[in-house]
Order: sequence, then structure tokens, then C-alpha cells
Amino acid sequence: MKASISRSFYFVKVCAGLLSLVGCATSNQGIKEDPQAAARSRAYLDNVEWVVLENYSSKATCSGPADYDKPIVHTGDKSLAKTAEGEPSKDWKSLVEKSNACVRDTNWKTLEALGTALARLDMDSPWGSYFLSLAAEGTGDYQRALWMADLAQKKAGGRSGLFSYQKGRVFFAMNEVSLAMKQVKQALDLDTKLADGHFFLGEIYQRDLEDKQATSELEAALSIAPSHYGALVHLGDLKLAQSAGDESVELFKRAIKSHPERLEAWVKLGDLYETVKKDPTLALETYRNLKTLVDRGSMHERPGFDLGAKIKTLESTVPARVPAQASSKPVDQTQSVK
Amino acid sequence: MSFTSRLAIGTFAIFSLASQLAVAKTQTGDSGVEKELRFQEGDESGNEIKALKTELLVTSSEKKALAQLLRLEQKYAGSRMEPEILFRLAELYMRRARSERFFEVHRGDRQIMSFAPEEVKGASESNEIRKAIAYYDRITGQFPHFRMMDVVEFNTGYAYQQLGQDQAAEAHFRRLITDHGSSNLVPDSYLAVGEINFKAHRYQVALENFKAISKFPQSRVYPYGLYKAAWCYYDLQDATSGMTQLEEVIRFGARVAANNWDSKLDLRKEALADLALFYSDVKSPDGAVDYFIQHSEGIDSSIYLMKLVAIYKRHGKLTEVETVLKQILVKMPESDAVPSVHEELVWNYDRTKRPTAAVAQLVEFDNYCSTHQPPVAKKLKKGEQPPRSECITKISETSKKLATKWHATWKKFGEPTSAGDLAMSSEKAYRLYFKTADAHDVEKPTVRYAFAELMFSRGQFREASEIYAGVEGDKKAGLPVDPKVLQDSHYAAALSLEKAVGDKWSDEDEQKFAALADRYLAQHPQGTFVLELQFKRAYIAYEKGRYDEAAPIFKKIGWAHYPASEPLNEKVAKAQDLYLDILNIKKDFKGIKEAAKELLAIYAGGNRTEQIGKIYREAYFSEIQQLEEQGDAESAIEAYKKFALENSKSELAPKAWWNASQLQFRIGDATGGANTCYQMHKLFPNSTKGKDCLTKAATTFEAMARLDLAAKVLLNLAEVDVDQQNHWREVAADFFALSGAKDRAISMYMKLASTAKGDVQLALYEKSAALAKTSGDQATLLTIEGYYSSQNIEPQASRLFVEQAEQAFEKGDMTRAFNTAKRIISRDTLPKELLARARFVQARVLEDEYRKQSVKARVSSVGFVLAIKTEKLEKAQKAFQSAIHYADPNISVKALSRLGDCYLDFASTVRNMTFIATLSTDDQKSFRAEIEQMAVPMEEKGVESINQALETAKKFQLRNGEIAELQIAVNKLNMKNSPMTGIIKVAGPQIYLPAFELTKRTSQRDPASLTEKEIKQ
Repeated sequence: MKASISRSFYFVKVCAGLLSLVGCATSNQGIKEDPQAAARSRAYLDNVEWVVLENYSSKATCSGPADYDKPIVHTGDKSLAKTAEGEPSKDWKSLVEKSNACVRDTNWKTLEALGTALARLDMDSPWGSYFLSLAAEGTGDYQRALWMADLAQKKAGGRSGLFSYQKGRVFFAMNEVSLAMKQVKQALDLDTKLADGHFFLGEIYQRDLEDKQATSELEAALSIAPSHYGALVHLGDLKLAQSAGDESVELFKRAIKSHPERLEAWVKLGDLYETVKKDPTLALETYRNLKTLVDRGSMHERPGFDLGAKIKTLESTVPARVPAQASSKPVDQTQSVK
Repeated sequence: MSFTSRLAIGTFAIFSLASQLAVAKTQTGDSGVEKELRFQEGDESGNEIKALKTELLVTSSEKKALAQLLRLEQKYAGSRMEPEILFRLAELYMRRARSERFFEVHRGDRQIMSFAPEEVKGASESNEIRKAIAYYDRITGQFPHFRMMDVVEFNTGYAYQQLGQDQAAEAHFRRLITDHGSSNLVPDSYLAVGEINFKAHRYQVALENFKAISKFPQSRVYPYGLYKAAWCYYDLQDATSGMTQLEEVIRFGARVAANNWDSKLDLRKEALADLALFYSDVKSPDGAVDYFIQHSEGIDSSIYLMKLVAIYKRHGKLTEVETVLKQILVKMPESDAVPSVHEELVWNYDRTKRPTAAVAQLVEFDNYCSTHQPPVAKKLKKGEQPPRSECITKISETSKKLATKWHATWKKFGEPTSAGDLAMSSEKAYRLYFKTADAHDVEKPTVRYAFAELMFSRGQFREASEIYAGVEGDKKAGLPVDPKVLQDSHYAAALSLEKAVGDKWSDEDEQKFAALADRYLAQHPQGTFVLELQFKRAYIAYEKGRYDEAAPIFKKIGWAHYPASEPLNEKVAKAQDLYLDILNIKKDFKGIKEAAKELLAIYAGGNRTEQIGKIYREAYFSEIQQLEEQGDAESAIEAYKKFALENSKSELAPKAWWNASQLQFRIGDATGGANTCYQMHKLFPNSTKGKDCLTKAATTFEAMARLDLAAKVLLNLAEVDVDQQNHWREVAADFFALSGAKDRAISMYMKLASTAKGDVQLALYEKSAALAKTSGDQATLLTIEGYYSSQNIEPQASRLFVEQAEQAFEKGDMTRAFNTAKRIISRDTLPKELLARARFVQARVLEDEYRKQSVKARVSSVGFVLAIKTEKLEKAQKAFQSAIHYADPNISVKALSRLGDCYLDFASTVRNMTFIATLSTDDQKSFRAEIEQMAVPMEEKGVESINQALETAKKFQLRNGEIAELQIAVNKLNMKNSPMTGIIKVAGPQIYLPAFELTKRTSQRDPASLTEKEIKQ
């Protein structure tokens, strides 16, 4: 019910931004293209790429400025004054790194502080408002999240796929799935490298039994990011449902290779060998390798079933292994795929 | 005095003078008396006294002579001597008359009166003459045969003439002519009679008497008779005859001269002079020169031609003047009168308003003089100038007079359109003057100054400058120069050069100007134009970019303390402006500020104070701007604000305040900037920047994503921009809502809605309601609902009912849910979506009733129980079908799914009725068969409904997982073995993060490239 209430507020026209820069940011209308804003923000977008959170890795820590809300008083260093005229501040990259870390750590409060600091220091940069959108989304303030995403889009000149994609994410969080899909499609029109957008659409189509579209979107995701774990797993599922077991095997193997610490592909591959391929040996190998990783603590999660019991059951149907293979080492699954 | 009179007096004079001198000599024995009484030239007063003394001597002698004669008269009475003595007495009285006349004439002279008062007071000429006449009459009466009877007649006539008794006089003259025809005095008597009649305008009578003289060519009055006859002709309007007479006079005069006769008989000059008059009356000027040359008889005719010219001129016959003069120049080129002729001709051109011709004539005159230089009498020393000829002097004087005259006329009346070029002619005349002027002409400096003035007036500034400067040369040459003219010429020389140069000063011109200005400043340190020249020198330097040279002069001029009572000198003001401008060029705003402040201390009030005040403020402002440009933003902000407060009336004050705010924004002090903007409207309510400032503040905060601060600024803006007050308040509320202050936003929306109308009001209520729902603000919702209901505002009112019905259902309040939904079901005009939702709530309530309806019953009541259950199902079925009928995809799918569930439930419920166990096996069997007949169709309907729900969900692409859920349900019903064991849980799009090169290398690396070791790790 909360979502529908939120939705109704959203669709009540909240054109707070009637001022020159921002415009009607929270409406569901598209943001108009603004070449001047695009030029101003170029310094913040050139040589910057975006990575999905799960692939993000940085030593940066989530620590916000203690005095972000206080005015910056110029003390002779002209860099700050220049910043206001359009030059990037010297600290903006550092603040972005910290903000990324906060997203990673879901530390929304600090992210809000960092986003505010970024938005104030580098007014032409879209990153401050982008992080504020993420922070608002994180705290469930979806209207604010949408507004901030639109503000980021405005600052980027109205043609950024990323900020459109962010709006899609917020819509999804609001259970406005159709709007989310529409927004993500717009994002993909603007930015063809957003693999997770294709994956998101593929998931929806797959769930809603539109296999053709789902296959198309997942393949599109993989064409951009061949190691996209989710796309590999879901496409594997689709192929399995279409009785293309071998393709599924290959896809699951690629998924394991890309993210061996994640459980789903291991389980799906083991089950496929066991129940579809009727190959207990390969199933046993798969489960044994998984167990080794689990035992080492390398997996992000533990299986929802008794892996040991499963292995025992399979061992009972599979001839004993030759001594040469009786190694303590797990089967090199990656090697076998190769 | 007539010739006859002179003759008579002469007779007496000889006698009298001889007597006087004899008496004087006898009395004084001093031969120096004559010398003593001789007149001294120029000693008017002394000469008067000498004349008086002479008369007193003569009178004394006369009185003695008279006494002697009176004694003789008595002694020789009756003797032959008596007429002789009487004659002498008459003559002596005539002489006395002359002396008496002297005293009579000088009766008003105080000096003579004081010298000889008795003689003067008692003097009477007429008494003496009458006494003389009395003696003459005694001779005529007593001695008619007196030997000099003709003389007695003549003298008697003369005496009467003296008394003005012309008739008696004429009678005596005529008696002499008649009675003494052989007397030598006959021609004289004719002359006297002629004169008396001529005087009485009886010209014909006079002419006859004058002509009678022609019979006496040996007479001394012969030429005079001719001469007077000519005048009679003239007065009788017969000038031609008169001219003939005069020509005869001239010829006679020539004979007199040739024969060395008495020169008094040579009346040629008088005749020629009168001939000019007569000629002007009757003859053409064309033949004038020839005529006079012909009749001048050896006398220079040019004099009489010039007299003729004078007559023509006097009569305004200027064309005739020109004709005669030109003829003279042609026919008498070597005449001495030529210079005068030239001069006269020049003036005649001037009189006929032909200055161009006049100048041409002057030039010709000049040429003449150049070729007719008089010979130098002595040998000139080295460097000595030859003496000036009269000719050159005439040119010089004439050209000077004409130049100044034309100049004055031109100055007063301007250039006449019809006549020649006055100014040009004046200029030429001036030039000729300076060519010919006497080096010692004291008027030279004044004329030079005037010439310069003319050149200046005619825009010939460079030459004017040189001419003005020439006055100084005149002074150096020793000529007297009026101090004012000298001072003015010094200034005008500089001024003219300035005007000649215009804006572009060459170094040469600047040097000249400096020399002229220095001369003025040196010679007239207290002169009127000292300031102006100092200013100009500085100005030239300024114009040529030599600011360091110009600035101190401007400062000296502009910042001197002048008397407050005097109006501000234009140059002083300009010097001030230019000095400030130089500082401005040097961007020395502090200097400008201080200099302007000094001036403000000097001037109190008036326009200048206003202007300087403005400059002061602008400099002050610029100084702050400089501070800002130098990057000292903090100081600039403080200074801007200080400026604005100190100069709050200045138009720059709001700008300064605005700049301060913008600087604050720029350095990141957005709050301070916004506060400054807010204060701006209060401090400068008339400034349009107040609104802009707040708008800028709001925009800045918005761009900074500080919607909380933007909202506060917008509230201020709403106070300022009254026309859009509600708009800004609504935007502020939106920002409050978006920044988490939902309660405040709701409050603002509600307040705004309370005064709004129509769609605007509804939109505000909708926003408020939406927020109230998220924050659980029931009071607001009730207020809005109450308003919608009371005002019957649709579909808002009905939507609230539907939502209330849905909430009531969620809370298990079935009755309220059903009844609330019921309130809008009948409203066909509402949107289908609302009606579908309302009906669906009712269907769910009915479904609930159906599900709660137990089927536990004894055998006897089975039918009744099932009937009730079936009835409940039918009600729910009808409601769901009704909801589906509205064709809202979401509701339709849900309704079909729920209905399918109900059917399946019914089938399951009846199959599992527990009372069956109490029946016999056969009864149970038959009962089950009956039940199956009921259950199977229900089950089929259930499966069909769920399938329909699935198809509908697919058809409308419902994206909330309904399709998958329904598919699983269908699979389960169909007992399909599907790999789809659960609904795919969509996690949603992942977050993307910005990554720089370094981060990207580690984070974006394709996991496929991970090493085995890494995987193991």
C-alpha cells in the first residue's frame, strides 16, 4: 500500500523545480536536452565509467565531511572560487570514491552528507545529486530519489543513460515495474553499455513467461558483459526450460567461472547433471567442488540443502574414485570447463 | 565784402593808418610800437589784446584828428576850405565807424570789456556812419560843384550800404553814373549797383549792370564784372552763358598773367572753380577732363576736376564721380592728383558698395605708388629707410580705414548677399595696409589685432594665431600697445592655434602652443586665461597619453580652492574630470575615491557635488570590484555591504549588495548569500534585483540539491514577488516535501488550498492527501475527504471512499468495507477503475462470507447448508463477475483468480464434507456421486477462471508477478511436471557507480580472467 501511496504522490504533479536550472524535476516527463549543461558537466563525466555495485572494488572508505553543511569560506586558495565558476574542485574524485564506498556499505546517512558536499562544491557535476538519489532510495524516500536523479540528468545535459537508469531503479523499488521497464529501456537507448539494464528486462520477461524477449535481453547483457553472472544463470535456466541442457551446462559453468563464490550456478549445475543429464558423476564432482569452497568459507552463502547428504547419496551411485583423484584438492571446475 | 567796399575802406585805411602811426610815433617816440603790436602766430589771446591796443591807439588818434578838424571847420566856415574840411570829417567818421565796429563786435568778450569798458559799452558803428552821411549830405547840398563830387556820391552810397539802406545807396551810385559819366568810379558804381541787385536776387538788373562794366576793360573791376555776370547767368538758369562768361574771365586772367598786370585781376582760379559747378549742372561727365584741360589756360585742371568730382559726390552722383576719376587716370596719368584720384576712386567704390573693386583699385594704387617713388634727396645711410611718399601713406591710410570699416560692417551685419565679399576685401585691405604701413604707425598693433580677429572669425585659425602673435612683435618694435589688446592677443594666438590644430597635435604645433601659452603665463600671471592655457597644455599631454605629465596640472587646477561665491569654472570642472579619468585609466580607484572625497569637502551642495559624489561612489565601487578581481572575496563582500549601507541612496548600493550576495554564493556561502538576498528586498525595496537575488538564491540552493534551503528562500521570494506569491509558496511546499519536512509541506498545501479555486485547489489537496497518506496524517485526510464529500468533488471523493473501503477490508472490517464500497457502485459516471475496485472490495467481502460459511451439518440439513454455501458463492461470483465487467486489467485478473479459487474451494469443500462417514456405504457412494456431479463442474469452472486470469494477465502484460503466480497455479491444477518450481524473484536493476581509471582496472576486470589462485583464495 505504501508503494501505491508513493506512486499517487509522484503522479500528483510535483513541479518543485520551476527555477531556471532544474525545471520540473520530479515530473515523469523527460528531461530536455541542454547542451550548455552537458558542456559544463563534461569535466565530471569524461574519462569516467560506471560499474555495477557487485563488481565495484575500492579501498576507499565511507567517511563524510563533518562540516559539509557549513559555508566554505575562501581563505586565499582560489581553487574553490574557481569551482563555482565551473572548474572541478580538487577533491571531487575523492568525494566520489568515498560516496561509492558508502553505497557499497549502504551507509545512506554518510552518503547523503557526501552527496550534499559534492553538489555544493561542484554544482555542475551530476554526481552529488546522483548519490543523493541513491541515498534517498536507500532510505525509501523515492520521490526525493526520483527528483535527485532528474537533477543529475539535468546537470548532465539530459542525455545520460545512467541517470535515466537510476530512475528506473527507483520506479522498480516503488513497485512501478512497468514504469521501471520503460525507464530502463530509455536508459538503454541512451547508453548501450548498461548490461544490467538488459539483465533487468530479461529477468522480468523471464518471470512473466516471455521467453523470447527474455532470451534476447539476456543475450544482449552478455554481449556487453560476457561474464554477467545473473545473465548467465538466467539464460541457463531459459535454455534448460527449452530442453537445451547442454547450453545450460555451458552457461552455468561460465557463471561459476565468473563468480565461483556465488552459490546459485553451482546448485543449478549440480541439479542439471543429476536430474536432467542423469550424470551422477558430474553432479557429484560439482557438489564436491562446491563443498570444498563452502568448507573454506569462500562462498557468500551456504546451500539451502544438506550438501553432505547429497554428496553421500550420489557417492552411493557412483563408482569409487581412483586413487590418483583422491586428492584433498577440489576439482578444478574452471579447468574442466576449459 | 565787395570790391567797392574794400576800395572805400582802403581809402580810409590809408589815411587812418598813416594818422595812427604818425600819432603813435609822435606820442611815444618809440619806433618799436609797430613791432610791439605785431600779431604773434598761435597767440590767440595775446593777439586779441594787441588788436585792442591797436584799436585804442587808432581811436585815440582819430579822436585827436576829429577834434582838430572840428576846430578847422569852425575856423574856415564859409571859406573855400569848408567843403574840403567837411569831406575830411566825413571820411574820418567813416574811419571811426570801423573802430566802433571793432568794439561792438567784442562787446561779449570779458577780457576786452575789462581792458576798455567805456569804449566797448559806448561803441556804435551806425552812429558814426550816420555822422559821415550827414557831412556828405552837407557837401552835396551846400557845395554841388565840389571837385570830388563823384567821390562824395560814391562814398555816400557806400555809407548807406553799410547801414543796409541799399535803396538809398543804389540811388547815389546811379546818380554818380548819370551825373559823373566820366568818373573813374563809374565801373565801380555799376559793380555796386549790380551787387545790390544781385543780393536782392534781381539777377537781370544785376546782370545789366555787370555787363555795363565790360565797356571799361581798363577798369580794375572789369574781370570781376565778367565774373559776376557769369553768376547772374547761372542764377538765371543759364549756366551755359555763365560758363561762357567764366571762360572769358579765364582768358582775361591769362592775359593779366601774360602781361604781368595786377594779379588781383587774375580770377582764373575762381572762374575755374565755379566752372566746375556750372559744368556739373549742364555738361556730361564724359567730356569733363577734356573740357577742363582745354579751358584751364595753364593752370592745373586736375584741381578743378577734383572740385567737379566733389560736387558730383556732394550731389550723390557717384557714377559721374567714377567716370571723371577714371578719365583723369587715363588722360592725366602724370598729374600730381593721381594719388588723390586713386584714393577718391577707392572710396567711391566703397560708397557704391563694391569692396572688391575698391580693393582692386587699392592694388592698382599700390602699383602706381611703387612706380612713382619720389626721388630721394639725400644719400641714404646703410639700413636707413627712404622717406615715405605721400602716395604710400595714402594707400596705407585708405587700406587701414577701409579694412577696419569693412571688417566692422561684416562683423555687424555679416556678408551681404548682393555686394562683394566684404570679409575677403577687408582681409586684402588689411594685407595691403601691413604692406604699406608706416613702421611707426601707432595704430599698427590695434589694426593687427583687428586683422587677426577677422582671420579668426573667418576660421583661418593658423594665420590668425600668427597675426595675433605679431602684436607682440609690434610691442618689441617700440609701438605703443594697449595692455588689454596685448593680453588678448597673447591668449588669442594660443587659442587660434588650438583651433587650427583641432584634436591632433603634432609635436611642432604643441611646441608652438607651449611657447604661446608660456608667453601669456609669463606676461600675464594674473590674466583671465591663465587657467585655460594651463588646462590646455595639460589636456594636450593627456590627449597624447602623457598622463604623468598631465595629471599634476589637472590636479593643481581642479583641486585649488576657488572662492565659493564664484560659479564653478568649466575648465576647473573638466580638469577634475580628466584627473579622475587618468586615475581611472590607471585603475587607481583608491586615488579617485580620495580625490573625489577632497572635492566633496570643497563643494557643498549643487550639481557638482552630485556629480562628484557619483564619481566617488563609482570609484569606491570599482575599488571593491578590484578587490574582488584580486580574489579577496571575503574583503570584497564586506566592502560591498559597507558601501551599500553607507551609500544607500546611490543606485550602486543595490548593485553592491547584489554583488556581495553573488560573491557569497560563489565562495560557497550559499546561506549567507541567500540571507543577503533576503535583506536586499528590505534594504532596497525598489531594486528589481531583490527578486532576482532571491530567485538566484533559490536556484543556487536547488542546483546544490539543498531543497530545504531553497524552500526557505522561496518563502522569502513569495513575500517579495507578491504577484506570484502562491506559486512560490507551493514550490516551497514541494521542496519541503522532497526534503523530508512533510508535515510542513502538508500544512502549506492545506493553507494554500483554502484560498485556491478550481483545479489549482484540487491539485493542492491531492498533494496534501498523498503526503498525508505516507505520513499517516489521518486528520488531514479526513479534512480533505470531508471537503471532497461536502463539495461532491469527483472522482476525488469516490477515490477516497474506495481507498477507505480497501483499508477497511485490509483491517477485516467487512461491513464497513462493503458499505463504503456500496456508496459509489451506483455512480456510473465514475472512472471504471474506481468502480471495479469498489466492486472488487465487495466481492472480497462476499468471498469472505462464502468462505466463512460452514458446510458442517447433519444429513437432514445438508441440502440447506449447501444451498446457503451455494448462495454465498453465487453472490461472490456475481460480485467478482461484476468487477471483471468493468474491464480494469488488474481487477479483472485478481477477480478471475479469486473467483477461480472460490470455485475450486467449493469443489474441495463439498468433496470433503465430514458427515458422510455417518452414512451407510451405499448412501455414501450415492451421495458422493451426487457431490461429484456438483464438484466437477465447479472444479472445471475454477480451472477455467484461473486460466482466464492467466490469459488476461498475459494479455495486459501485468508486471507484478501475477503471470508467474497464475502459471504455477495452472500448472499445479493441470498436474504438469514443470521445471518452474517457483516464481523468479526479480532483484531489480543493480546500482551503477562512477569509476575512474584506477578503480575501473580493479573493479571492472572480467572475472573470466581471474586466476585459479584468485578463485581458490
